[in-house]
Order: sequence, then C-alpha cells, then structure tokens
Amino acid sequence: MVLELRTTHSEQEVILETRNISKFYPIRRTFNPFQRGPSKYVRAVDNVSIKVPKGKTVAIVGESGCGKTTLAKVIALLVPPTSGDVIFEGESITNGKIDRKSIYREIQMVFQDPDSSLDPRLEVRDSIAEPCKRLLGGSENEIQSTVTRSLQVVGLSERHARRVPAHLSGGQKQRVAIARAISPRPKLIILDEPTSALDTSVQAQILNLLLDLQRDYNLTYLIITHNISVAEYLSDILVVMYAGNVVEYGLSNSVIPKPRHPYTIALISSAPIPNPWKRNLLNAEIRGEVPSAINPPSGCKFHPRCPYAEKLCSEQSPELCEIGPGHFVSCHFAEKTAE
Amino acid sequence: MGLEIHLSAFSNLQPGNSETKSSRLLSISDLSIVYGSGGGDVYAVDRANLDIESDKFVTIVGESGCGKSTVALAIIGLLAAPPARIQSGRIEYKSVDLLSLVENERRKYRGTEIAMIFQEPLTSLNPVYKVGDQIAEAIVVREERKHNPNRVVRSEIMQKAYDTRVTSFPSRIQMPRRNLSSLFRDEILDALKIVRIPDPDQVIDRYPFELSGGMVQRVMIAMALAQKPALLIADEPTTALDVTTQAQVLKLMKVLMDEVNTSVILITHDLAVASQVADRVIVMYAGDLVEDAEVYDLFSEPLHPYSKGLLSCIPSGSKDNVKLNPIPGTVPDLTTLIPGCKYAARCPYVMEICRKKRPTLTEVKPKHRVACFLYGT
Amino acid sequence: MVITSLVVAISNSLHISITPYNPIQQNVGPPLATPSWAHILGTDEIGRDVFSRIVAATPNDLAVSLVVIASALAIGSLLGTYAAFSGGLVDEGLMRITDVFFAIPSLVLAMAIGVALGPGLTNMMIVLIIVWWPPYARLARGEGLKIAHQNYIDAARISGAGRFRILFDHAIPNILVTLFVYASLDIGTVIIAYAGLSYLGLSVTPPHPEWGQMVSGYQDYLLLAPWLPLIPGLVIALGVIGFSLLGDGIRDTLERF
Repeated sequence: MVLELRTTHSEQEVILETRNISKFYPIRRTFNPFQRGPSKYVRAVDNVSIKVPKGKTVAIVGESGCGKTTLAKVIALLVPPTSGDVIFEGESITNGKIDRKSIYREIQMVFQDPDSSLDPRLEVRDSIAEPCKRLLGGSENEIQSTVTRSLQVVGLSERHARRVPAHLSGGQKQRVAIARAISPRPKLIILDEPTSALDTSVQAQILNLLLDLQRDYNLTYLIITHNISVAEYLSDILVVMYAGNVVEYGLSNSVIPKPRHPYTIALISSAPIPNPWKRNLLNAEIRGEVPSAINPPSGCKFHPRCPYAEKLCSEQSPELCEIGPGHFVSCHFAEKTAE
Repeated sequence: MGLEIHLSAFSNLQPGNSETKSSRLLSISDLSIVYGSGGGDVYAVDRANLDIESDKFVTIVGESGCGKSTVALAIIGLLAAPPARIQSGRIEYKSVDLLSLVENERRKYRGTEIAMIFQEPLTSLNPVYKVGDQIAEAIVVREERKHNPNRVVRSEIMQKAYDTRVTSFPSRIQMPRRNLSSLFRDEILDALKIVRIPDPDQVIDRYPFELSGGMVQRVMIAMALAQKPALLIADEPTTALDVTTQAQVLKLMKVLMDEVNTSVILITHDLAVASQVADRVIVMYAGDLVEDAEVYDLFSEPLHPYSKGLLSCIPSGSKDNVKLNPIPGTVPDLTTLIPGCKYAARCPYVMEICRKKRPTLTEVKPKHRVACFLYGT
Repeated sequence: MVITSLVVAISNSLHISITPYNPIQQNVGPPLATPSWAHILGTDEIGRDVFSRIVAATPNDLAVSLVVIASALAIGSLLGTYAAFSGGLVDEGLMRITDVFFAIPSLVLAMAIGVALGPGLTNMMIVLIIVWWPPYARLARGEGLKIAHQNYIDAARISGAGRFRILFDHAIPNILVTLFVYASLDIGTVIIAYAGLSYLGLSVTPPHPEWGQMVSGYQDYLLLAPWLPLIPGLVIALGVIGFSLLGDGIRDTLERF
C-alpha cells in the first residue's frame, strides 16, 4: 500500500505532534549557589517539530547522542520538556494540568533493553497486570482475562505467565513488554529500540508481531532505532536526527532511496546491506565523530564533517524546508545533493 | 580511500613469519568445548572442524550462544579454564598444536602471532594508564620477544618501568622511569595515524575514558598490528559502535589487513556485516559449524536450511514489498547432548535421519562445505 | 540462643519461673558462692543466682537487636529510596543529615540521648534506633539510585503508578536484599552497643538483670569473685557471635533465593 499523498500529513489525521520541543539538561559540577558564569547545558533535544499520522509508523533514526531516546521520553511524559509542546489528538499534554492516567490509556511505551524493562521481582502476569490495574481498574477477573489475552496475542502461553524475567529469553521478555504495552489498548505506542538487543531470527519474529498487532488493533507506532534496515522495513515516515536536531524528514520510500541531507547520505550508506556484490560499506565516506552535546559546533551542527560545507554553514543554523512533496531537509545547500 | 602513511613503522618486522603466502595457517580438528557449572554442563562447541588459509578474511557468523566466541577464545587461549573444559580436539597453528602446549609456551603466540580485539571498547584498555603507554607496552613486548624469544614477558615490565630505573633488566632496552611512550614515540604516532586517529600527538597522552568507542577500537587495532600478527581475531568489534563508526572501523580493518598480510577471523552476529567484508563465511548454530563457503557462494546459494532461514530474516526493504520469514521456534537448550542434527526441531526440510544421526561438515561443492543430510553429508 | 530467648521471654510474660531461682530474689544462696552444682554460675554479692540472672536477661538483648535493626531498616529504606527517587534538594538534605549523624561518635550520641530520655528498655531501643538508621538510609539511597533509572521504573510510571506506589511496589522490594545482607552483619554490633549502654547503667534498672549492667555492677569483685564480672562479659561475646552467625545464616539463605 503506497502512500499516495502529495504531502505527508495534510489529509491524514495527525494523532501526535511535537512543536518546537527542546530539552536541555543543565550541567552542575557541584551544588554551589555561588557558581560563577553561565550554566552549561547538554542540548539533548533542540527544537524538534514532527507530526505522527494516525495508523502509520514513524521511525526516528540517529546514532548515539542524537537525542532520539530523550525525545521519546518527552513525548511519553516521563521527562518534562524545557520548552515546546506535545499535542495529542489536538490537545496539548505538556501543559502540566493533564491527568496522566488518561494519557497513558492512550499512549504506551516499549522500552529498550528487555532485561531492565521488567521488574525482576515480579512474575510476568503481574508485570502485565500493572497497567490494567492502575489505568483501567476493573475486577480481578477482568484483569486476569486481559492479561491472558495479551499473552496470547504476543505468542506466549500460560506457562510463561508465572515466570520471572530471569527465566525468560530476550525475545520472550520483549514480548512481555509488548503485551504490557498493549494491555490498556492504547492508540499510540512508542518503541525505543525494540529489537536492538535481540538476535536476528528473534528480531524477525518481533518485527512481524509488531506489524500484526498494528493491523489488528489499528495502532500508531513511533519507533526509535539506530538500525536503518529495521526503520526501512517498518516505517512509513522517517525522521533523521543528529545532535538533537531533525536534519531530514519525509516518507521512507523517498528519504531512503534518495537521501538529501549529507548526514542522512552518510548514515544510509554506512548501513550494511546483506549483499556481497554491493559493498557500499567500503565506500562510505564519513569523517569525524559525533559532536559534544555541551559545546556543539556553531551554525549547522554537522558542518565540521560535511563534505559540502561552506562558510554559511558555520555561521547560521539551517531551518527545515520542503525540498520535495512531504520531504523536509535542514540544510543550506540541499541542492548540492540533488543529483 | 587509500592510506597516506606508508607502513614504515612496521618495516623492521618480517610479515608474520609465513614462508608461502597461501599456506594453511590454522587448522581446528574435532574441537569440543563444554562449560561445566553447578547446574549441569553446557555443550558450547561440538566437534568443530575448520581450516583457515593465510591472507584471508574469514567471518564466523551465528546468533548468541552458538559458540562462536568460545571458539575464538579457545584459539587464542583465553578460555576461562574452569568453567570451560576442552573435551577433545586440536588447534594447529602452523602445524603446532596449541592445545598441547603449556601456558608458558602458549603465551609466546598470544599477541605476537595471534592477536585479538574484543567487543566492548570501554573495558579493553586499562583505564589508569595513558593510551600512548599502553601502545608502547605492546611494542615493548614485541621487542622483548625479538631479542629473547624464550623469555616469558609479563606485565611486570610495565611495573618495573614505572617504579625504578631498571638496570637488572636483561634486555637491550633501557626503561625510563616514567612515560613509556616517550621511548617509542615516533612509532606510536605512526600507528595512530595509520588507524586514522585525529590529533595523534594529543591522543598519546589521553586516558581511555577520554576517547570515544570508535577511537578506542582503533587504538586496539593499532596495538594488535604493532605485533604484526599473522592472525587477528576480532570478536564482535563493532557491535557496540554506532553505524557510521562501524563502517569506518570495518573499512579500516579490511584495508589494513590487506596491506600487512594478516589473516582475520571476524566474529559477528550480523550477516550483513559479514557480507560486506568477508572473503569466506562460516555459519554456526548451537555449537555446530553448519556451513562454510566463500561469501558470494553463501549469499547466492545458501545450502543449509539455517543459512537460508537466517538470510530471509534480515529486513532489507519496506514492509510493503518485502516479507520477513522468521524462523519458527527457538535455539535449542545446550545443556543436553542432542542426538542428530541440532537444527532438526526448526527445519522445514527435516527428515527421519536428521533426528537420529548427526550430519558432518563435508565439501559438496568446490570450497563450499555444509553439514546437512539434504546433501547426503 | 534464639530459642532460649524465646522461651525466657514467653515464660517471663507468663510469669512462670523457669529459672532455677528467681533472678531478683536475694539470698537464695550464700553470697559470692563459687560456681557449684547448686548454683551453676555462682551467686552475686547479695545472694542472687547468677545463672538465673543471665538467662533472664537474654530476651532483652534479642528484643533490642531485632527491634532496632527492623526499625532502622524500615526507616532507612523509606527515607533512602525516597531521597534517591526525588533527587535534588531532598537527596542532598538527607545526605547532610546523615553526615551530621556520622560526624558524632555513635556511642557518645547514644549516651547523650539516653541520659536525656532516662533509663529503661524501651528508651534504649529508641536511642539505638535514632543512632542506627543513617547507614541504612545511605545504603538504601545508593541502591535506590541504581534502580531509579532502570526502565522498569519508567514502565511503572507509564502504567499509571504514582510516586509512592513505585517506591513500595518496585523500589523497596528490589533493594531489600542488599539491606538484609547488611543487617545480618549488623545484628551483633547492636548487641555490643546495647551492652555498652547497659554497662553505663542506662538500661533496665537493678534489680532486673541485664548483662552489661551486671558487668559494671560486679566489676569491683574482679579479684574476689572473678566469675561475677567475667561471665556476663563472656555471655555478651557469645551473644554477639551467636547473632552474627545467625546473620550469616540469613544471608546464605537469602543468597540462594
């Protein structure tokens, strides 16, 4: 099913939107009320605005330190933003007066690292029951049947219900985490690196499970990953982040075959393809290292590593502009990559 | 993409001591390794047979628990002897059975002939010594072994160098009181430049925690190369790194290994990575070697059902036009010795004989070995 | 030891005497008698049977150690985890408060509070609890910090759990194991501290028996009737060893768990 929209979102109902979200963490060496000089900040997320259409999958890709996990936590209301708004179904949920429980009935999250996302002391059925108890209420029987149904849906059985995480494999733990997330029947699920800790064959099982669940429950996914292949497989829309900023953003089937931001080009060409006749890896051109989050480069944060950089790039930070239908790039010289 | 610095740093060494280019470097026969613990034995590696020619880039691919790291550690001799037990087999390096050697003898090969780099860059370097000093240590070891090949070199060298002016040290190298790196500064700088570390004169005096993961891995490669090994084993060296850094490090490894004529065994769980850098790919499953082929052959015509299954598991394309076919089931429990083929429980082509007899790894096409009864092995 | 204490405690509360002689009654035998079959550990200067006194005093120590440790554990884990999860000023505040407690030698502090409160078993328990909770709080805080950033805590938040629910359901159960291990090593130490306090006369008043108080009360007779001060001292030592071994046992069982 190819998205035939001219632009990404105008005709689609947008279920979630972030407007100018920034998250800065102040660095404090000591608790010193007499500290001189301006505070330094880690600019984890810097002015990010994205839209997530209902029923679709948006993948946020980037490498370590780009702020994608922090952005996910801000959207999930686990971390308050320094500035900006998160709009869910038309209403701002970051204005502080929101009833969290009602939000969490609609927005849920599956965390990175299945080992630490389950309480090691709780049996599987108790972990899955927790959101039901707190968010949905209901009798003991109702909760139990929700738990059983959730287990079935993710491919686990009653046998697993009584186990503790230590007796489960990585794939099984991740299934439990997914079961827990779907129990309150949310509309949007944020998945933070859902398969990064898993073996290839297990990853394939989980990816298919996610697709089945999306279809069966009409879910919207926001997936954070550093794995381009997974992002390409699952997503309809791709958001590329670098050092806290969104650098490119658009339909996956236009961004991935024709990336326009120099960082996206480097990122996609560095992703290994299982094809020995196309050894892109050895031709990937990328220099340098991810910049410091406290002292990022001036202007465009990518300019020290960019093969197309010019003077303007070190002076002025570029804005996201549309260079194709629904395809946005944050670069002063996007035309250079248009070949 | 070419290297600007010529390898003059290493020119005073003979390449790997191998007479002929394409000779048998490593030969593993019938290797079985068991991890024993209170709760029972885990049969980690089951009668592995493997030959490696020199001057090749070999990848061992498999999922977690398949035994690939165990084989690597056994080759270099860093297997924790309890709980691991080598039940049988030989590892012949240039016709010497490494397993029959005493630890003192074994140590001579470690680092000089066979080098290794590990997965977790943060723990590979000693955090309390500067980077330059640690590279210098590798060079010192090399120099020591050149002059006195029978001398067992321990890290007491470093201890002595830092504590006292070593005069009782029966070597031709006078150790300075501090700053080992000043001794070999030029060579260290060259080594760092070869692995493309920016600002090498600054990095020499840095501590490991000041470097990023990618840079530390490059330092590890530099240290490994300083010894001019004939064989380098890399155990998931890029798994903990970012995608772009991974590309840089893999590219570096491939290019350097070509230049210095070192054979490489790369251990990875990522078939895509293997396809990008390997000459030859070996697939392991639950302690068995199931397929062994040139990389082009494996990807164009995978023979073993597990290899086929694994290849169809890798997402490459969008969900709209590609269908992932995950392998049903899970990896078998290795605490019991499984009769027959270990993959039988998940194999779509399973036959009666598969559950009873164990297939052996045999060559069914030129340079393409597989262990599967589908091919009569 | 535990069994003895339980038996004595039960019998004390039931007003049944199980000791050979009434521990407070004077002149059950000749004063300062050497240990003999009639009086296994001899008698003191006013004729009370030493053995009975020692046995009668046992439940005090058991009670004190258990109550103090349990309370310190409870207070410490609550405060420590709350501080770890709150961070910021609350955390700093707790750390500074515990610093104050650590700065003053514990026994001196205990004495000061003890004198202020006055003698008595319950008062001594209170004193010891006040002195004992800071290390548990710090330990709990350290452990709490470790798990505060674990994903399952975030998952609990997203499941709608409030702050205190997270503390009680997720945080505290996961840190308790470490705290129990520490506590098991600590039991013996409490006994020594309590014995010290009772030596100084801060605990139960005579004529009720109490080991430390017996040591101080009998020390003048060291040369005359050496068993008088030495035996309670020995019993204190045995008590500490016994409880420490008990603590070891608890720890081993927990580790297997």
